[in-house]
Amino acid sequence: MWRIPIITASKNSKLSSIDRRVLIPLLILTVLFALNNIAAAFDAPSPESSPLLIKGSRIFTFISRSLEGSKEGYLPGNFRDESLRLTIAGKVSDTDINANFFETSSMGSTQISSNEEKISILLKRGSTEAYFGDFTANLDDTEFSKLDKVLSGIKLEGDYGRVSFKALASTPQGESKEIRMYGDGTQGPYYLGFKTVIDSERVYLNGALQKRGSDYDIDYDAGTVTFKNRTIQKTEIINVYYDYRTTTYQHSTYALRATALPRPELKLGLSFIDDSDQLNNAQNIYASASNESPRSHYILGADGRIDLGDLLTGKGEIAYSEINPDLLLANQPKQVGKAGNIELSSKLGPITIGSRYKRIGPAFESASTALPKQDLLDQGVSLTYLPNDIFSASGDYGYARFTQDGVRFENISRSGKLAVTPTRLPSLGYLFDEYEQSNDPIPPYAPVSRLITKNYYSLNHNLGKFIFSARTGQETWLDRSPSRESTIYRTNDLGLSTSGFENFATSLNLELKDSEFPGDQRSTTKTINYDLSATPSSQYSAFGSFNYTEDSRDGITNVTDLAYKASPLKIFNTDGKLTISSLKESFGITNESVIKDSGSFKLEFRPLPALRARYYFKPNFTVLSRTQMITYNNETHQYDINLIPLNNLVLGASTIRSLSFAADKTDLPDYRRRGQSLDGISSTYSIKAAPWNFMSIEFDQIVNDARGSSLITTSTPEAYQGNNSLAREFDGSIRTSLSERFAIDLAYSNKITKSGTTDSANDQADTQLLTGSFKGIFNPNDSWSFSLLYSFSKSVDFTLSPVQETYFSAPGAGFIYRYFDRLRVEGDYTFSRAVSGPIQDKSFLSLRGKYDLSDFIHVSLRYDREISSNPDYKTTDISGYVEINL
Amino acid sequence: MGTVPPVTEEAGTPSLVFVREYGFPGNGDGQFYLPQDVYVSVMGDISTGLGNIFVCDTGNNRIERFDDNGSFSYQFGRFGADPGKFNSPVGIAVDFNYYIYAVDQENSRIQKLDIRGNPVASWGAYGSGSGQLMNPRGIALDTFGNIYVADAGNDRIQKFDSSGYPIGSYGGFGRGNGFFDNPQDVAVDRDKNLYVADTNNNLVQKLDELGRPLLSFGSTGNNNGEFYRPGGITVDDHYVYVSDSGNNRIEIFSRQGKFLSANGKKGVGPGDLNNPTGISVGRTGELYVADTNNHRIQKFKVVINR
Repeated sequence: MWRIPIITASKNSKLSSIDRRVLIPLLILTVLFALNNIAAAFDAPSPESSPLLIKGSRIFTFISRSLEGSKEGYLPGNFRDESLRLTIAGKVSDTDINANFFETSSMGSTQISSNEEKISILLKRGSTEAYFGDFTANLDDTEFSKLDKVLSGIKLEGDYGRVSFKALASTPQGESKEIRMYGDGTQGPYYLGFKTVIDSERVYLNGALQKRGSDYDIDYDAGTVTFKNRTIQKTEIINVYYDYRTTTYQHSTYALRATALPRPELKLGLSFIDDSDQLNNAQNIYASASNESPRSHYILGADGRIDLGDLLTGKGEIAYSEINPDLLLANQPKQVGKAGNIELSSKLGPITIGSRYKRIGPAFESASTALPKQDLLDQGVSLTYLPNDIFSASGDYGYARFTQDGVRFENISRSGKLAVTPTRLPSLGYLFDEYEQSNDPIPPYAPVSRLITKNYYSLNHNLGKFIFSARTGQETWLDRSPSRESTIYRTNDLGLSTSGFENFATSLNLELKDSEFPGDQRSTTKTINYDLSATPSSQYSAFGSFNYTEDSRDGITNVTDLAYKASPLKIFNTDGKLTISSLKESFGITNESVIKDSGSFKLEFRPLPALRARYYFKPNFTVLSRTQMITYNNETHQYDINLIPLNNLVLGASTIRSLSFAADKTDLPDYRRRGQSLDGISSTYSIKAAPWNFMSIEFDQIVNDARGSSLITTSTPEAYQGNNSLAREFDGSIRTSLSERFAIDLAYSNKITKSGTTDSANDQADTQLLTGSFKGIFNPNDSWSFSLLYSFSKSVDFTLSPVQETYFSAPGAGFIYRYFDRLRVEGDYTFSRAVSGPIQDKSFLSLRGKYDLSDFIHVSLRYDREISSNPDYKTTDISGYVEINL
Repeated sequence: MGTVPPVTEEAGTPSLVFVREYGFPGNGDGQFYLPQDVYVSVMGDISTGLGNIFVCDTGNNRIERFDDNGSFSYQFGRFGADPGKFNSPVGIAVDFNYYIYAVDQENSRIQKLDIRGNPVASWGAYGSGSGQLMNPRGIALDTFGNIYVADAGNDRIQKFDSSGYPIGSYGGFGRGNGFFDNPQDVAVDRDKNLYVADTNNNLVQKLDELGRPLLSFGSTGNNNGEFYRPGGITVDDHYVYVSDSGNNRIEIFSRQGKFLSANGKKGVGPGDLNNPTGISVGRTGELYVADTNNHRIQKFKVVINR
């Protein structure tokens, strides 16, 4: 199987990006050679081969922008952006290659420079694979010689049936860690143990991924997580995966693991890991920046697995670790640790007996995630009775003693399971679990004599294409010392789902939870999840989803989705969706329970292929549950019609009406007063026609009309200020191609804008802008194209007294030169001048060139120069772009 | 839908072989309710090297992520209109910088999120103006990070830069020659050509990077090369894959529009399809299909028959 190692080289990686670019091909060639030699010893070479496909691009972009004077919104500065993308794929000498490299760097005078690289390389020949770049070292099939760090370097793997190996040499970027803990009845902070690499964490609560910012906050320096929305109970489990750094020294990791199958029933393995700091410059680092000493860490492990059928199966492992805690000191005593485990199982008819024993010495240290439990003794026995396929019973007894964070723990566990799984009848199950703790497992690990007892009963029944499940149980936490108190959780779950129906699917989950806390405190939670989808035919479908949670402490929240699609007639179809959610919302001063309804509905009518009429409705309103008053509304109605009466004619009309209002959130307690409202209509009418082959015409009429009011006086009687806005725009354009060499485009635009602070006044804006333009294009040959431009505009401001009219005249010219598909040069110059009123001149020159040196190299340059008087400014933009494709 | 289109084998007649399925109806981890899009990212997780399959779990208003072996990684999003929440996420794409672009249909916006689902930016509002959206669905990225959105209700494809600024619009109501009728999806090839699933016209239209029509293929029907409401499209270096939703199959064409194969039939079994919509091709020739009405994602291998 191809496994793609995905890699991001960090900015502080030992190799610079230039080094990497050089090294990647060298690495590939080197390892190709190595793979050939390694794999040839095991695999019969195949004659199959295909050419190596190399693709990629190098792109260099720069922009230089300068400004004299002042121009609103113009951002001067220099910007540079480079990116490199390289892909090598194919097969050479029976070796599959798939390598990707991507690098981008940006720098600008007004932005922080950034640099990013991503590399993935996989080489595979027969059963041998080589990885380059960054990867997770997956030496994970042993407990004590495990290595699961994120590394950067080289990894080789080979699997040849009876013999396999993994070898790696790398420089780690960080180390991964998982921490698992119970809640402590607070929101936190929960201590992770190390400084955390930014953005590396994944936080789960009871298996559900939490979102940073909304569900929790993290302090990367302190290494703590704090939940934002609620307290975490003692039965809830927090899992955090994160990366951390521990050392400032240059560090390297080498590992080798080999396994062999000398006999089918016997597997043996040997592992060696060297995970040590380097002495390069270590004295200086220690003197200047670190209280830590460089250290070495070796692990040697051996493991085995035996399978003699029912008589005996077993596996065992021993490991030896040696740590020199300070490489800078001579004759430093080494920390030597040992660990071992063994598991045995024997089947005697329907009875299976199992036993386990694990011992981790106090000085043993794994190369992987630090073992939370030190000086561990864990032992136990299990018994399983399985007389037939219908009945099963099992029991387990375990004893564990260990040290965690300097505290000694002693735990005893007892559990039992019964299951009856008759054919065609409901299957029944019973689970008993009892756990004695000597300490609270939550820091600071206070001594406690606690007994946790769980009893759960379950029923599952497969009724053809329906699956029914039920589960009920109780969990009791009894603290016998230092004070006697108990907490009881009762849970009832019901589930029903379908599978395998072509036109129908549904699933229902119901959970009832009742909790009793010390001091006669109680809480209940009901949760219902229901999904339904039905597609009885291709014309009709309906979908629904319902999520309801009722918590005696947090109140009710629910979200209901209803959706449908229907095409009862060939000429008519409709679809819609309505979402109703119930939640708490902040009204500034108070938090209120609200119901929010939002959705969209569409009706589409197509009586003829050339005619389409549509209606859209999008409701969106909020109801205050306490008063049943609508406190927010934003609904949209849209009507549009399109008609193609002739082959070359499309007519369209569209009207959108938007109605919105919002309650005044200072109107306590019921928020009945309206704060602001708006009623707007936007209409668009369009005609697109191509009456002849040489001419296309388009006309658009756009009207936006809105009226609203805003609350200005809250004392009785309230006073509102009206406002209005109106924009009418007519655009027309005619494009012609009178001959292959000659074309004329004409455009006309008339835009009227009005707005005011009352319903009828136009005291804020009252303007008209008329623009007419002409563009003539002449192509004397295939290489050259010339254009002449002219536009004339009239701007009127009716709010001034006397009314101010300004006329602008703007001639221009342009050219395009093409040399086959390789070269394209374009230039435009326009000059506009106000022919009335104050002097306002503006000239704009643009030169653009694009040159394709070959199919693989593209160059683009652009120069823009703008000079304006009143307002006075000059801008110069120079930009370039080079793309090199492989 | 895809960012930088991947590489499949050289020419031949491609067909699909079922590999595995993901999920079943429900709202638990790894379950789906009417998923409408799937995206296989070119790159996997930064820290683990795994996990590059993203699913728009539309009915549950969330995005789920899976690793290469099909194991559930994590999910983010829930119903709402706040940043990071969704109301019918129906399209998804991931760029080289690990940013996720999600089409949040009922909120009429595009959301840009980081790889863990934290909101970065969003743009769009209901309407027909530039940058506005009406029932948007499919999304695709080109090699320079430009974003193309199938703005279905406005019968057009809108182009945005990576920060969400609208820089182009192609189409409008009509049939053929660059005009569309309810286009549900768009894909971009390595040469920046656009492929549009012109759904109600039962066509696929190919445009150049400036939106000029190059060719179109397909017609209404259920024979080879025909469509009934094509709802998804993706492209690699050689082939165009079309999710022929109404006919419950995946059709494969050359990039010049030549029909090559039709795969799948209506049903609930392995390889069967029930209203397939979003579709994505991985770089080693694996094809992921949002099998919407079966509430699952199916993975196929593109096999070249020489």
